[in-house]
Amino acid sequence: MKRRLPMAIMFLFAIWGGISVFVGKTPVKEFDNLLRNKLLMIVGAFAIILGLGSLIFHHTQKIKRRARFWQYSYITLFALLITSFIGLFGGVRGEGGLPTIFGGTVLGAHEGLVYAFTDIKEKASFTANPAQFADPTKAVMELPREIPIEFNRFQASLLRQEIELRNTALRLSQQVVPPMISPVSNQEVPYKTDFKISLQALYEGILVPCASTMFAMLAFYMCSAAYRAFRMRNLHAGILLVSSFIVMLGQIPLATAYIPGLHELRQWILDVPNLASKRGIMIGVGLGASATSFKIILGIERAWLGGGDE
Amino acid sequence: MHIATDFWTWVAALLTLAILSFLWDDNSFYRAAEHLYIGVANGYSITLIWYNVVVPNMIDPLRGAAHVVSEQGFAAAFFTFNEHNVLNPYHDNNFFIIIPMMVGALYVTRFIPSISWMIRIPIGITMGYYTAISIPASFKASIVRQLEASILSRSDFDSAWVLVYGLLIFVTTVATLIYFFFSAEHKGVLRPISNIGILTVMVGFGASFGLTVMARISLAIGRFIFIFKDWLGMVQ
Repeated sequence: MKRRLPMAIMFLFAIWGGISVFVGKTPVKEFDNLLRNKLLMIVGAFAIILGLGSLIFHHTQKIKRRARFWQYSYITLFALLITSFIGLFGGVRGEGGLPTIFGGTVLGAHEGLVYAFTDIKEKASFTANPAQFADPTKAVMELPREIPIEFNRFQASLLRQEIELRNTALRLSQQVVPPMISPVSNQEVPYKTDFKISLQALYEGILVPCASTMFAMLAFYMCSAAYRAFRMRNLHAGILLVSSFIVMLGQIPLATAYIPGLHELRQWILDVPNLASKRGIMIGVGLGASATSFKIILGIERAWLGGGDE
Repeated sequence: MHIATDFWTWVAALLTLAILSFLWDDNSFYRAAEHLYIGVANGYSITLIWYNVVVPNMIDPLRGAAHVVSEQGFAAAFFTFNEHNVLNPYHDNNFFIIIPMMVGALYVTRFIPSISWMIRIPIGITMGYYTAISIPASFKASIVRQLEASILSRSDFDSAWVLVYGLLIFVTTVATLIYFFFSAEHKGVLRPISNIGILTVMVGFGASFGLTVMARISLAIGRFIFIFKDWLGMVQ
């Protein structure tokens, strides 16, 4: 019962999956679309509870038992709580009830680049072209450094009245915040006084740098591993070394500029032998995946049931 | 030199340095950044699932169904009909949505030892359906399309080089497949072919390794540009 019932359900849904692929009749397709795009998504969404429960359980147990490095578990739990709170109540794009953006009015000026974020919900973007001021919702200001300038409707009306964009913005900024002078260069420094603690800010400020640095760090480890792995012990290792060396070198502009034919050789390696080997592997993987899928559906492969009682 | 004044630039820069510090040795800064990343990533996932799945697929239909009940009675929230006058239990606003929610809730039984076996039901549903639909998809994409592309076509005879490359790709693909064919011992005629296969595979692995390293190097350059340009303002 505890194993046969889930297996029977799995088999029934597998049969339905097969039918939906091969039967193009509208009622079948309609139900299949609903199942795939809605019902199974709902079922799958509950899996996050499982993952979340496991994470919280793991870290609370670690704290309770005073396991090694237990202090850091507080960071994970606290970050989880804060991020979820900001996300759920502040919204993905700051549309929630929780205020996620705090700031002053006009915020700074430097070399004609003006940041003037105020009420984000009411913001409107403009171009330097006064003709586009007529459409206050679409246009984006084009500056030499390609930094968009965003103004709210109040500032937009001021700008409309005073065509001198730079002077107006400078004046507005200096009314509220005096220019900040760098002690190093003795020049005016652009600055913003608005502070965001939105989900997007957490994503850009924490997730992106952490993830990209972790992946970037792998380059160092791969290089040290490659040194050990690529020592030319035999012909196969030598081919691996030469192939990877050409591909890496061929991606460096300086090398391709000074070594004639390197770029073409690299491209040939990627297009011919690399393609053939990938194609062979892909065909093998496809056959293996299909065979494994059949084994699961037919109940030969039961690892997904896990251990435990019958 | 214009050092950044934005709060999040400083956070990103300090986290970058904290993670890079692992190159020296495992240390407190790295562990703190790692744990912070895990917490924020999970919180972020919760929010995305909430807004992309839970609200449109669960909360909105239930809210709509409650509205239908208040206006048209309880039966209307279940027994709605589509344009073919067929009973349509999948109408946007009805309580049938509770059924997949109840099935999904069986995931939580994992935490209740006496009924923890019931977690196999939602897993079985998901696995059965997606396994079945993946068979033709993977067969088509990984086998049929690849075989099609390997076979010489009329365009391969446009020039001598194209023909040579086409033949080379065909031969080395077959050789790679034979190298991974373990049901027969690699001797006799299979031996030289599988040798060509292993050489092809080695070139492919080398190319993949080279591309992967360069992608990582590119990311590393991106981080250093962030530190020296966006954070410290040393590079224009």
